[in-house]
Amino acid sequence: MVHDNSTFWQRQNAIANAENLTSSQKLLLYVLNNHVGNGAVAWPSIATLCKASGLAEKSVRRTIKALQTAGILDVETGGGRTSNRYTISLSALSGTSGQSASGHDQKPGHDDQGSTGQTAGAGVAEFQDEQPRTTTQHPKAGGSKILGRRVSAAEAWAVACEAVQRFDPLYEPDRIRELLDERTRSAARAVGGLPRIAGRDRYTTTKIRAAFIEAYNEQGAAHV
Amino acid sequence: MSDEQTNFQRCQSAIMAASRLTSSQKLVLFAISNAAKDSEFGSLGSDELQTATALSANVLAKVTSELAERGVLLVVMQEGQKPRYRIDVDALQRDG
Repeated sequence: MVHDNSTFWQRQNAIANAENLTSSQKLLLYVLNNHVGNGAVAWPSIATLCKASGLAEKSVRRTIKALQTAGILDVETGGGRTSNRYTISLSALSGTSGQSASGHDQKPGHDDQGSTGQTAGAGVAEFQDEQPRTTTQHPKAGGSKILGRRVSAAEAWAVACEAVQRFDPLYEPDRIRELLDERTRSAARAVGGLPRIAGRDRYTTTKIRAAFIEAYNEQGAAHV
Repeated sequence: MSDEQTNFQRCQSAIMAASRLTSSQKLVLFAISNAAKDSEFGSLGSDELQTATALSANVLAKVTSELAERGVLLVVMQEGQKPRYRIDVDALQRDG
């Protein structure tokens, strides 16, 4: 890796000081910047990025897309036979203090369980039916009955993680939460939306994940 | 190319090549390596490390503890000063 030191360090410092990037975005940018040769262009393969960052392939692709949307990363596709070419925009990176490189639910400073373990916490997540629909089937609120009995939040979470890993063994437990949040909404839409609870449209993550378990087992992998 | 630059690049390469580290562990090491630049030790306040990684204080505490237990990271705490970190690149290449 031959660095033009001044521009390399300008990018490194800009990545480190950026306020509205997620941890995955910063990590991928550090890796990409290390691959940058002269001219601020790098062309590592997705596999290389996965190995260097420790992120799963889907996380890498999602993070690249988010950075591209934010204008921080310019991607020139390789056409399938060669790697994509990546250019980091220092000006866009330096201006991230006022803009959000969104495209992912994870916020800066989010309590990401990045090393081991998973969180079975019952935080509150807002979910609103984006399209009012006539529902014919509602997952039962207040816990999953997949196991023939009501399960605790921790057990439902463990079942959901196991279900996702059976479906896609590439996903490590510390990435399952963000994946489930995304897929749970898809699963909820697949079964016609979540039932309203006493007229409110706020659902705990426990109930959302329970809905995912039911949807996953009833509808199969086709809806996730 | 000076030896100091080579040490920094060696550290960054070792982080990327480490197959047993999680993404959060790699991220913390990148941030510390960046702070150290050409020096043996990197000095980072907790706020600076949070900004450089976008990880929460709880996760950072857990990750730095894990890295220290693996012998990859040495943490030196001094009263009234920022924590100082040293990445053991040999340990990283051996056990990472």
